[in-house]
Amino acid sequence: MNMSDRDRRALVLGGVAVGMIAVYLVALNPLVSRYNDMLADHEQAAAKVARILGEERKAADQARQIAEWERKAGQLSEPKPYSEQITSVSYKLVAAYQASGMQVKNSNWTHPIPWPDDRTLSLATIRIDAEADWENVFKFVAAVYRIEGVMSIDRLELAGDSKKPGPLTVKLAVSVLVRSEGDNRWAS
Amino acid sequence: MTTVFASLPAPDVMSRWWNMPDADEQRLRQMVSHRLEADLPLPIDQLTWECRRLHGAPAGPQGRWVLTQAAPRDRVARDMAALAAAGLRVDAMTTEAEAVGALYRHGINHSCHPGTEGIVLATADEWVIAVLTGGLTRSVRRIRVAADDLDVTCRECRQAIEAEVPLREVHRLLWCGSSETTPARQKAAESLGLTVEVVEPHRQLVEVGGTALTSGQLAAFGPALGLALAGLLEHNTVIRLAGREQDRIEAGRRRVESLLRYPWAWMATAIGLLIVTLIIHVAAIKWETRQMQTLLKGWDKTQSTAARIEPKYRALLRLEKYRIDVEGTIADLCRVVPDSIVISSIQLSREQRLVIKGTASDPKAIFKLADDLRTGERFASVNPERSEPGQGGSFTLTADLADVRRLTAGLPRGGL
Repeated sequence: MNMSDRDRRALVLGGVAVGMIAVYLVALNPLVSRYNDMLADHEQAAAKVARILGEERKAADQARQIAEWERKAGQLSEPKPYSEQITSVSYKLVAAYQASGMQVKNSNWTHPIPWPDDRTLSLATIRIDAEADWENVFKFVAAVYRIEGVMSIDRLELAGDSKKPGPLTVKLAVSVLVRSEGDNRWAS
Repeated sequence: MTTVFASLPAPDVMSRWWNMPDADEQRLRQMVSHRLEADLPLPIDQLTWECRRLHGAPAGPQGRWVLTQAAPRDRVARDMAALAAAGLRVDAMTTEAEAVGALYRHGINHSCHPGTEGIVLATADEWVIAVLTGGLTRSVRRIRVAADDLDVTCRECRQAIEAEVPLREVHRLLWCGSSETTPARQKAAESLGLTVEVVEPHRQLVEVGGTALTSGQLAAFGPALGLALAGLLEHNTVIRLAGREQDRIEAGRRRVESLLRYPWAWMATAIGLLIVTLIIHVAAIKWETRQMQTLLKGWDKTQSTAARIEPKYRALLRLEKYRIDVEGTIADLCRVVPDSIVISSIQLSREQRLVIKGTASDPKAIFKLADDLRTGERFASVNPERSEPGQGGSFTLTADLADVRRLTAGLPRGGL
């Protein structure tokens, strides 16, 4: 069979086109896919590393804030179980009464209630009735706020009689965060 | 410092006198190059060429007249090599036409004419005939003198001039030669029908001893003298076909040409470099990914700084959010209590606000206290709820604590 030049050219062009398609399918396309996969892996790893670095930077800033707070207002700590916490806080409160010169008449712990922001925690409150001079009250308030585990003074009542000079009647409610689990005698 | 100028003989140089549009130097060179390519029998890359504008004369219909001179590159190189072999380091290789032009401009006493004129440097054996326009030499021819037949010589002279311009356009013929050439001059004037003016050497052209040059000497050594004058007075504007400066340019051009001689090699090198770059790029990405993955594998979240300080930080946030600043609140209150008020009780609580009870000797002082409490940022909704000025001035005042957050699930209620 004789082929014309035109047929031969068509065959050559067709062959080249088929060859190019084959090269694309067999070599080029898989290479590009692998390259894209490699870039995706790189990007994923880079994002994770960037997140970790960001967290570390944030943690360094938080550590600085914690150090500053502890320098001004005492140690920060995680809430302890109820019995451990109230023992520790009560002990330190006694030291605070003694240091501030407050005459405590009565103090008692109330039933802990759930802490609204975190259900693993509860809020126990100690109510204190005492008598003290104006200055001593604030010495005591300052000392209370340096006790580890104390959340806040939730109530403060000061009463006195201008006609009868003498110590003020002081009623306080100091709240303490405790862990809900553990040997909580109030737990149901 | 000695400057060496040399000139190529007129037969080796192709001269063209073209009218070109006014353009800057680079554009003019491009135009001249295109025109030379079309006009000359040799490919332009085998030529060394230079052009020079005619200054001082009015622009022609299209622009200015430009004299372009070219010579075969190998011929110029051969002459330069010969001169170098003779121990001469040539600063500029110009053309004989430029030498005669410099002689015309600086070497003879005459009044310059803006039009076309001829000059003949005549000796007993040879005439050098040049045609000039506006002082630039358009052509130079040498003809042998037939002593016994001046008609032949004059005919050749006419042909030499008419080869460049029609004779009628020639304004005059300047004649420079010894007295022996007087018959020839008369014959030429008669034969050509032109005004022939005898010119003398410029008075500043003298011999070593100070004697003025004669016309005969000027005719015999005119081109050489012109070359010297060109070197002395026109070294910046004279056409340079070769020389130190030209060599430098040529060397640069040759380097570029040699670089472009192997395009396939360059392409292969470029492709090779591209492949190497790709390999390095892929290897770098893989290495980086591996390093990061190793780092992530070894990363223990529980041992991180964030994990270690997290409980303390949560405690800090809780305290910042919920702790009541008792000292600050009482201090702010005491700061604004006037002397006329005696406070009998203060109640401060998260849920039940601030309640102040007391007595005031001045009833207005209660309201002043309320106003003063309102001006600070700590107290809001300050209300003097009860005042009994008729019963000893007792009062009750309540306020909200602006920076105290209430708990959503209630704290134990009831009195203390």
